[in-house]
Amino acid sequence: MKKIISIICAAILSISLMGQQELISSGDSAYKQELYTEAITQYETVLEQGYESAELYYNLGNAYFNINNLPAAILNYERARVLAPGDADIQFNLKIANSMITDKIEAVPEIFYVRWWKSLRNSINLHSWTISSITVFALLLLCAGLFFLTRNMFLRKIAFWTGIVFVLLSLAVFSMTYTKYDMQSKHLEAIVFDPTITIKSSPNQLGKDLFVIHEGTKVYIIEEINDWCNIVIANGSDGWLPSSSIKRI
Amino acid sequence: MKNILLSAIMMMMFITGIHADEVRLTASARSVVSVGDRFQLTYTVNTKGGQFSGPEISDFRVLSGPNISTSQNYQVINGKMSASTTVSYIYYLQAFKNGSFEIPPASIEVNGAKIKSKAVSIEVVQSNTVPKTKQGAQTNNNGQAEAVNTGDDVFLKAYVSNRNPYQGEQVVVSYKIFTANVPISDIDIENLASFPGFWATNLITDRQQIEPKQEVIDGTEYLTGELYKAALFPQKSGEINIAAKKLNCTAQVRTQGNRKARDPFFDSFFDDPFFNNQYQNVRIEMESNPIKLNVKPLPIDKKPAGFSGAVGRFSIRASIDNANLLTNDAVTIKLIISGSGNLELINTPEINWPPDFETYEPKITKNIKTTASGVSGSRTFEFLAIPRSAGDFSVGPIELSYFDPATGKYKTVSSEKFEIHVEKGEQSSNSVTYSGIAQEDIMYLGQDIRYIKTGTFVLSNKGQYLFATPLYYMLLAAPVVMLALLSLLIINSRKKKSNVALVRNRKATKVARKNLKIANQFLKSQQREEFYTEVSRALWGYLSDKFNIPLSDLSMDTIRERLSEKNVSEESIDTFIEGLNKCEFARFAPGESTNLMNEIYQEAIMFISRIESELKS
Repeated sequence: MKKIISIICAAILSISLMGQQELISSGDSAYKQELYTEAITQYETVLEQGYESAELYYNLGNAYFNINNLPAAILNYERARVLAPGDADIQFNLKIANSMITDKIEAVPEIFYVRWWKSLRNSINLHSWTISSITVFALLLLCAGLFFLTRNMFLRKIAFWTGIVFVLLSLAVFSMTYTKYDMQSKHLEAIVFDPTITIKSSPNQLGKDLFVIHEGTKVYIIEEINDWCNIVIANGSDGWLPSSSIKRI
Repeated sequence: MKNILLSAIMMMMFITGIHADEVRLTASARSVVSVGDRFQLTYTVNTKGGQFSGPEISDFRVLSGPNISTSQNYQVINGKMSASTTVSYIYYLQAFKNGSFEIPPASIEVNGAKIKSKAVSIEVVQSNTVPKTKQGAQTNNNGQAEAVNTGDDVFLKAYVSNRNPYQGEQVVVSYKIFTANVPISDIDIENLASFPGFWATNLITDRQQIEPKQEVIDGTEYLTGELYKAALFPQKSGEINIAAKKLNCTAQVRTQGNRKARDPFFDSFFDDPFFNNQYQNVRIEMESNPIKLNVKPLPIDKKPAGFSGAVGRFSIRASIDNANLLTNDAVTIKLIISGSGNLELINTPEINWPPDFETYEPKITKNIKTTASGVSGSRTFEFLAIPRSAGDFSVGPIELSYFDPATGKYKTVSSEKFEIHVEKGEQSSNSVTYSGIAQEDIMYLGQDIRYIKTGTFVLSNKGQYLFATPLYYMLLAAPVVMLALLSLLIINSRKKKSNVALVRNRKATKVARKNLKIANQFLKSQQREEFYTEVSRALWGYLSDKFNIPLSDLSMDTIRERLSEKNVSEESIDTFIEGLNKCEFARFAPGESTNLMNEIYQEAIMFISRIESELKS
């Protein structure tokens, strides 16, 4: 009897000790054998344990893509892109997945500096922005210190002007970091999971039907009231949909 | 169809009690028929041979007859064998007017003796007087209720070969009618052939194939017939119900007597048409059992890329008509897919022709056999292509992926690979001559997602941001604190440094005086060496302290530079350097000179006071 209990205990322990890396590599090998549903279970287990990485989301997205679950694939590619905005593979697969969804939405063209600002903001992830904000601030202080402490006139001049540059730069970097943090921590982007969903003019079923979108489409959440989300899609149209029909990135 | 069934059942009833030695001619027919009914009039004689002369039938339409049928019966009783032969003369009649009619007796001449049968009286009633009921009780003409339990005697049953098929797997469904001694006719099977949710192929094409069979269920003998049989291919997964099918037919029910006991002797005795020949046509409707199928979806895992819905078991064979050809000659690849399963639903397999081949739609011929066990056969695809440029090309192998429901796995069969050698043919008139090199755009054949990332990667905790955390603010504050500390340190040390200089500056004259005082003592005691050392120390030390120049930085060469920096006049500098030189010189010069020592001493004092006054001004 004791023996059985100890065996059971050991089994439970070994399961709980099975590290995330083992789960990931068993998911990878399942993927290689084209056992996509099994791969998905392995990857999702790691995510449920509270871990994430761009590569994990990317692999999970691929597995979903292979079983033709497009919205889940897009959701995971988008999540991967948040963590690794510059990764070419993620962008490529996301583009392919997006080309296979029902809705084709023409994005509203933005003014060039807004576009530049956004593309600059999306060029690196939040963590990198946070680190660079700290770095820029430290460099600014270095210049200030040099300016105030040196007696050499030439050095002081250089320190002054570079200091001015760093003041502007750190303002820019801080605002980028803050807006990115704000968007990411509030999860303001989402993917539609319902096969078709009618966008209403008010946050209830009685609202007038405005337009129809389909699964896989990306929406931006403006606000949420009583399980209804006010969303706007890439072409600028907005309306309300039930929160249950979307999943936040 | 119905006649076959009918006569087969009728035949079973003609086991009559006949005395072997006495020749008898008996007549039998239904006593009541309705207008338009078809019925049999049978004359039976218990001997072979003889000249039969039929009755004159004017009140009924004779459809056919007399048809002669002979049966022989051997009996062994107490070791004695007796043989009896029965000959039946059957007329098929149809009633066309109502009323009571009598068919005059028929006669037969056997061995010179003429034997007559009885006359047969038949009552013809209007057809609508026959009640049409569903299963259950019905009333006969005499107003006597009789239970016609057609639910037991006649029923329809549906069979299915597999209740848990995969999507697309072939399922054979069949409908069988069971009758226990009840002749039926006019079977309407048209509404059996409808199966929503399935792609169906009828497996019984020839209606004449239906053969009655005998089956015993719970001790009751039934005559059965398979009315309908189809191969079904489920088109979706999940629960699919095949609704109960309704079937209408006409049953001939005995209306006289209330015999439930199935005593073979009495049965056969009362079944004798001579005693009991009242039949009634009853239109009955029966319902088959509904069938519920649980269709499993095809597994997603390991689904081959080229899978296009083929379910069953297939093989593939390909041949090429000509592997060595000239440009612009046609080449044909013939592909035969054979096996059992949803053959007709298989998409045309793709052939990866080299891009320089002109291809055409394949010609598809099918040879599909529907047998009682299902659909099998083959489909032939003939692919035609024309090479437009010379070279060695390889085509294939052509692959077919299918799902084998027996093993529950996907399988891929492939044909052999063909090597095609194309030589440049004669320039045909319609070939284009290019000026320069013909360039072509890259042809993209497909698009797919990129492969997964492998290897170990760094995992981070979900939803944790560095921004706006205490750590973040600490990291921001750290350089501020460091800068503050650094500036404090620098300012402090500067202050300290300047304090030291001030003190030294203040004490410079004092120290110099003290040194000179010692020098004066050496002068008095005539200690030359010590005197000069002390004087030079006084002078150098004074300079170092006064102008905050480290001693190590001072030398004869740098002194002028340093002093002029400190706004000391050229003249004083000259005197000072001269004095120093003198001192150094006298120190190492031979011979003593008290005067010289005195002079140097005076000069040193004068020099220091001179610089003092100059700095003050």
